[in-house]
Amino acid sequence: MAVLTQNFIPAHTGDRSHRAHLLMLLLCGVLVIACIANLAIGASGASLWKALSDLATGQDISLRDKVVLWDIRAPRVLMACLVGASLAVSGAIMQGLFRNPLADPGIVGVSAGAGLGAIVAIVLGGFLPAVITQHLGYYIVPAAAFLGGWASTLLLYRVATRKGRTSVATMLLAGIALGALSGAISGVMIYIADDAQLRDLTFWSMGSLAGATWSKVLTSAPLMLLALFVSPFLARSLNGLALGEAAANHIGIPVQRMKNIAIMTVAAATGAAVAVSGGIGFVGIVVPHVLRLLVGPDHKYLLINSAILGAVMLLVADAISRVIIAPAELPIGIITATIGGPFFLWILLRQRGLLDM
Amino acid sequence: MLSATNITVSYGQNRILHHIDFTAQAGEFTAIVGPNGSGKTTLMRALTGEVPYTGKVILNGTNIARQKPWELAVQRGVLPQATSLAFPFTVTEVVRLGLNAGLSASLNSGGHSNQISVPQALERVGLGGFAGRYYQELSGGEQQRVQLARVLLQVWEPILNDTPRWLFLDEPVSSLDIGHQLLVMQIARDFADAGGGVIAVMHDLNLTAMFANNIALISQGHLAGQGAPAAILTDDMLSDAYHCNLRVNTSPDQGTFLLPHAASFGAAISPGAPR
Repeated sequence: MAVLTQNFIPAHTGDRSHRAHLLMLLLCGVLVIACIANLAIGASGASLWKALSDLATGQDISLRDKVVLWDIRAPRVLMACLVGASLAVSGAIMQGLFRNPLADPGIVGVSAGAGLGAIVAIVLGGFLPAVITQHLGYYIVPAAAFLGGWASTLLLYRVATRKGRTSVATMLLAGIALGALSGAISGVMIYIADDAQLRDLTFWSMGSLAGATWSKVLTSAPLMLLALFVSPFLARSLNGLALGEAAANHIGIPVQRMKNIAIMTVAAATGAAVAVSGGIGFVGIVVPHVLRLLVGPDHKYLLINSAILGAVMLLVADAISRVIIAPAELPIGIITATIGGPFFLWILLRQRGLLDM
Repeated sequence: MLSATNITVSYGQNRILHHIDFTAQAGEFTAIVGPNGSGKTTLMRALTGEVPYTGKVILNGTNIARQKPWELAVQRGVLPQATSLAFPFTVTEVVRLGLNAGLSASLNSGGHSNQISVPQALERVGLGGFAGRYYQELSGGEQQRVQLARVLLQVWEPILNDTPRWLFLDEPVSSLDIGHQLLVMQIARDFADAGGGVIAVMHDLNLTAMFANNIALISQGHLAGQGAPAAILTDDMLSDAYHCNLRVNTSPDQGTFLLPHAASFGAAISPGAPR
C-alpha cells in the first residue's frame, strides 16, 4: 500500500495534468485493444481475423461468423463499454458530490433503486395507459430504472447530507436501508408477476452482458451517452465542491443547480446501466479510486479517464467471464465483485479516519 | 463600498444578530471584533450570503441577493476559518481552484492580465516550496495559507475595471505563528492600500489595532459601535463588550495602540465588576 502511494508522489510543481493527459492517451489505446480482443475471443470458433481477411479479399463471410461477430459479440462489446463507462462515471460523480471516496451507486442503494424501477416496469408495465406504452415502447424499462435511481439518489442525499456535510456512517446505513426496501418491494413484484414476466425478470436479474442485442443497446444507449456527455461539464463544479458547499459557492459555482444536475446524471447513467445489465457492482468505486492514486482527484481528468478505464475494466471482466469456464459463462457480476470486494475493504482501511466523522 | 442595513440572523428560535448596520469602504481594512459567540462570524456569513438573513447587503452598488455566484466570485474572495478537503489534492491543484473563479465573466470584461500564476500566489503567502505537497499532509497554519493563496489568486488585482474587489477573511491568522500572522495581515493591508476592500473577523485586538483602519465591535448580537480605531478601541467600549477590565495603552512615539492589559488580573472576568 505504502509502496503504491509513494510511487505516485506528485510532480515537483504539484501539477498532474500532463500526466493525466498521457494516461488518457494510454487508456484509449488499451480500450481499442480490449475491444478488438473481446471481438476475437469467444466460446465459438468464429474468427475475427478470418472474417476480416475475407472481407478484405472480397469473399463472403460465412453466415455463422457473421451472426457470432456482428449479432452476438459486437453489441456485447459496445454494451460492456457503455455500461462500464456509465458505472465508473456514476461512481466518480457520486464520490465528488458526497465528498467521499466510499460513495458508489451499488453500495449506497442507487443501483437497487434503479433495479426496483426496472422490475416495476416489467411487472406493472402492462397496466400503463396504452398512450404511454406506445410512445415509450422499449424505453419503459430504462426510463423506469432512471426514475428509481433518481429517487433513491435524491432521498439518500437528503438523508445523509446536512448543511453541505455528508455523514459517511449515515450515508452507508441509509444505503443499506434503501437497498433493503428496494429488495422487499422487488420481492413483492416478483410474487405477483405472471409466468412470462417471471421469465423476463429472471433474464434481466442475471446481471450479465450475455443478453446484449442491438435492440437492447439502442434502447439504453441514449440515456448512457447523454450522461457521459454531460459529465465533463460537472468537472469544475465537483472540484469546487471538494472545498465544501459554501466555498464552492464563493468561487462562483451555482451549487444547488449543479447538485441537481449531478444527481440526474448519476441516475441516468446508473439507471440505464442497471436496466440492461442488472447489478454489476464495484466498478464505480474501483475505477475512480485507482485513477485518483495515479493522477490525482482533479475531476477534469478523473471523469473522462473513469469513463475509459470503466469500459476497459468491464471488457476485461467480460472476457474473463466468458473464458474462465468456457464454454459456460460466469456472471460478470461475480468477477467484478471478486476484484471489487477486497478493494473496497482496502479503501475502508485507508479511510478509517474518515469513517469516525 | 459594502453596506449592510438592518441585518438580522436567526437560527431557529435563537436570534444571533439584531438589526445590524455595517459599512466598509474600499481602500480600507475593516475589522469585525467581539467576544466568542457575539456573532462576528455570523455577521461575516450574512455579508457573504452564506446564511439566510433579513435586511440588505449591497456590494459595489448591487444587492448580493440578486447576483449570480459567478458575478460575486469576480468581485470578492472569501477565506473560511478552516477548510478540509475530501480528496488528496496537491497544493497547486487547490490554489488553482481560485484561478477559474467567475471565469467567463472576468474574461469577458477585458483588461485582465493573465500573468498571475499559482507559484506567484504561493510565494506571496510564504509557501514557495510547497507546490507539489499534498494539502492533507500540511499543518493547520500551512493549510490556511494555501487557502489564502487560492483566495488571493481569485481577486489578484484589487481593482478590476475601476471596480474595487473584496477580500472577506474569517479569522485569517487564528492558527498562524506570530511571523506569519504579520505576513498575512500585511498582505491584507497591501490589498486595501492598493484600492481593494478587506473585511476580516479578528480575535487579536493588538493586530487589529496595528492593521485595521475601521473597526466594528459586536457584542451579544448587537453592533456596539463602528468607526476609526481610536473611537472603538477605548477602555470603556472594550471592557463592556468583553466583560472584563481592559485598558488601552497608546505608545506616543509610534502612534499605535498596544492592548489589552488586564487592569488587575484578580478583579477581571466578572461582568459589571467595578473598574
